[in-house]
Amino acid sequence: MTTALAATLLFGSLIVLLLIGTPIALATALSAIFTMLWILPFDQSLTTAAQQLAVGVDNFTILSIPLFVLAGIIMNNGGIAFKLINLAKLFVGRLPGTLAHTNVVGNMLFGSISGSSVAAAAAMGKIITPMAKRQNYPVNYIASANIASAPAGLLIPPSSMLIVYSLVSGGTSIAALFIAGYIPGILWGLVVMTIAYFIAKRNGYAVSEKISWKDKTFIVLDAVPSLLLIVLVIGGIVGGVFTATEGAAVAVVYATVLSLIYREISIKQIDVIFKETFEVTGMILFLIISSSLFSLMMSYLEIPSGISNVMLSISDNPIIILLIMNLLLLFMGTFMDVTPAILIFTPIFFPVAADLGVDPVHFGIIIAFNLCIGSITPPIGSVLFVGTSVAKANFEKVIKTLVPYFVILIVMLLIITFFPQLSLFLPDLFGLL
Amino acid sequence: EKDTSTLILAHSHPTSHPIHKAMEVLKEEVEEKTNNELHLKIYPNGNLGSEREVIERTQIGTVDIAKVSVSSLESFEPSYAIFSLPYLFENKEQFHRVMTSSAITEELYNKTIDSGFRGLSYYSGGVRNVYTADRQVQSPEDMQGLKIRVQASQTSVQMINAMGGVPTPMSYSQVYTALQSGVIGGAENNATALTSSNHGEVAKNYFYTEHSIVPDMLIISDKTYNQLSDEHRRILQEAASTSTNHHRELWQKAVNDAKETAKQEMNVNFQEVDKQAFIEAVQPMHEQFKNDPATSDIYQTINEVK
Amino acid sequence: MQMVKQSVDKLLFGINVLLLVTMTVLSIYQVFTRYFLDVPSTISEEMVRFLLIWFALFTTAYVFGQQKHIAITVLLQRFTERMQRVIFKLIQVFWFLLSTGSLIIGGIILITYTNQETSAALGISMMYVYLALPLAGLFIAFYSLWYLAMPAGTMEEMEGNE
Ligand code: NA
Ligand code: NA
Repeated sequence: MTTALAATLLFGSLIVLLLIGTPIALATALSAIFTMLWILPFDQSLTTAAQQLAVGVDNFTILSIPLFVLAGIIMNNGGIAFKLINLAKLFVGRLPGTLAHTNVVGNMLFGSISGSSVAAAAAMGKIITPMAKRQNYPVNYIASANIASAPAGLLIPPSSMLIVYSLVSGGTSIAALFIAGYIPGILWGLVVMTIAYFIAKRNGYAVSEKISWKDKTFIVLDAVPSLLLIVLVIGGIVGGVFTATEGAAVAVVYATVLSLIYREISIKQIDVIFKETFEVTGMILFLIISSSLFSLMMSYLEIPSGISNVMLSISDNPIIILLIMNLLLLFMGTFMDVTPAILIFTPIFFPVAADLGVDPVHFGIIIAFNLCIGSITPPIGSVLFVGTSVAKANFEKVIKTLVPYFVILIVMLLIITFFPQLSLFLPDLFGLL
Repeated sequence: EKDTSTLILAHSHPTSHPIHKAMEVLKEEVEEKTNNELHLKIYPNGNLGSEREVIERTQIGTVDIAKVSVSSLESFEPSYAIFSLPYLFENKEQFHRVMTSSAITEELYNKTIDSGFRGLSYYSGGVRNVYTADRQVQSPEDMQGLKIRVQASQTSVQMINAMGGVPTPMSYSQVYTALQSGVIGGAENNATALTSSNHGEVAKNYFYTEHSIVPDMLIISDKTYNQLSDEHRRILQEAASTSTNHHRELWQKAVNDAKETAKQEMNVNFQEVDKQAFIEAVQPMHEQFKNDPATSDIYQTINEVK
Repeated sequence: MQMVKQSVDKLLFGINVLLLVTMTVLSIYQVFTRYFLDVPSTISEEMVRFLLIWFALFTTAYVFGQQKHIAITVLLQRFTERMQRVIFKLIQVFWFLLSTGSLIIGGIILITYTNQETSAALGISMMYVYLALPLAGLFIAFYSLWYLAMPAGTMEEMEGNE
């Protein structure tokens, strides 16, 4: 009974605080602290909250975020991003909504190497938004394509999210999980591109002009040093020369040196670069910290296992149970960040899924895909907030534009859930099952 | 206000792990013997935070009981560092003899009262061994230039240095990809790491260096302990010992199963090494622990008991 | 008076620059020692992790100082201007409660527990890690009082936090 009341207080106060316009991260932290004060002694509550507010970022998937954001902002100010986008446009060609497609491809690459969809959305959003404004794209169109595609990279290996799943599921093969992530991850990207294409076509958004061969050659040559940055960082991380965080630091140094050579950055701009970096990372990190405090409170009250016990007692039909699990994960995923949600839900659902005969690798992809959707949905969705904020877009408009993406991604989720071959075909082919 | 009749117990393992089974034994015993006056609520999977965070939470009082590794405890009480000393025990029998002796329980378990928690019992930890992606290791010479992942602790760093390798501190969740990509050439852990974390997929050579046998500890918040009646304390203490015995068999089976799976399904090679050469290589560390005021007493006691 | 806030902004900005630059340099140093010296640094990873804790709390304060933390203002926009002003003040009270209650008081109690606790690699007292809590709390408390004291007319300009 106390638990039910405490849970009501936790969610109720969050919703009230959000509705009156309290900053999202502050609302998240406060609702957790109020609930704690109600069930624990005063000093213990404040101390536990303080501790979690500090250690909430102490996680290797978060470590690389500030440096990747800094690198993105330097690339943006130093002309590197511009050259790379020009190059990318050559490949994406003259599809309606060229910049959106470039953004999606960028997110798939960046998310997959940085292991953080938030870092990808922040860095890509910073790079694409100014160009989009120059080419008269509506801000909410570009922001929504950025947000919708950011999680795709998390499914594409190397994926820190799937490593965490492997650990808590009692050792599902990481090699198999990695290979299994390719098709769903790439499909995710393609689905977003398809929707972005249709929106752009219907509204008549800019198609880039035809580029002459002479200009094409120039664009390619001009982009070579910037391209080397990508090769160096991706190659370094995938090839094991450095970790994601170290790769981010290398990107910062390389981008700074190149920008200085291009003479695109002045001393005055360094101030602006830092200011922008602090604004983006401060917002992201406080969201992560407060979400970790909220998750701690949910665990403490055993809310995840409580809800699933009730839901799973409804039926014993495998299809219904899988649907219920997906609904639950979608719902809870809207309140939690991806990594804490995996840590909390895998142990609860994994045994149930195993009983139903769901392959552990397939189940990992279901959970991961599902929670990735959660990270872009309101009320709590780190990627959603960050993508909206870096584009300085209107929250309400962005959500409206995102609706078709949500619908199709949820359909995709169902397809992935009920067609295991999509996840298991590649691992099977490589003899990993 | 907090409900004092329900104790919150945190550990970091999945529910299929022997530790969780042992915690369930503890829970059943306590609830039965106290006629349900005292309840235990188990939070597995690190749901209440990492070990360091959970220990801090026992200090604060938001977690009552926790199962943690001694390497985490080392940060709170330096004498726990003794268990990271390589070749402190020559075999498992010595290890259990020492861990159950009253000399150790009295000396060590109460040492952290000032820090806000106390020891209740211990659990067999694994025998730690070196494993590599492709390098063959028979003696310290073979470890030359080999990057071995270690836990973030000065003793672990010194240990790999002394054993001839290059210590590379790294968080556990990064080890798999680091082994795969070659950022590190090897790691050291008990055999269950090969299967439960899949390191056997990327590390095919497991060498019986048997350099350490490390216990896990069950601790209780001192705030909680002081609120318990003498009767409840006694019941809790006995239940903890029962769970320790229960765990010992389960754990041995888990390690054997892991080795079998690693051999059959992952093609991991298990090999003997020149253990004596490694023992000699780490002797300077034994001298150091013998003379360090933080560990000299406990070092002395352990050597007398074993 | 505006000068006081500008000085605090500058101080906070400077601290954050220092933290971010140090994190970058340490990460590069880590690659360098592992690949070129073949002696991996045993402390840099932990230093970066601890610096991130400081950086997270101090940039949180910085972003609050600029009123740039993201909020959902859909409903708020439908309220009367008078009501909006009241709610704005109320939110500053929330910030004040978070900073004094959890960050400063909770942080100081936590420091008393952890001053004997040492970090695994560096061997420093964990007190130095958690010290970021009350310090960042002071900045947040300052800003919340600043915005509480600010006359109502200038507030609209501050609410660009969509
Ligand atoms: Na990835
Ligand atoms: Na969400």
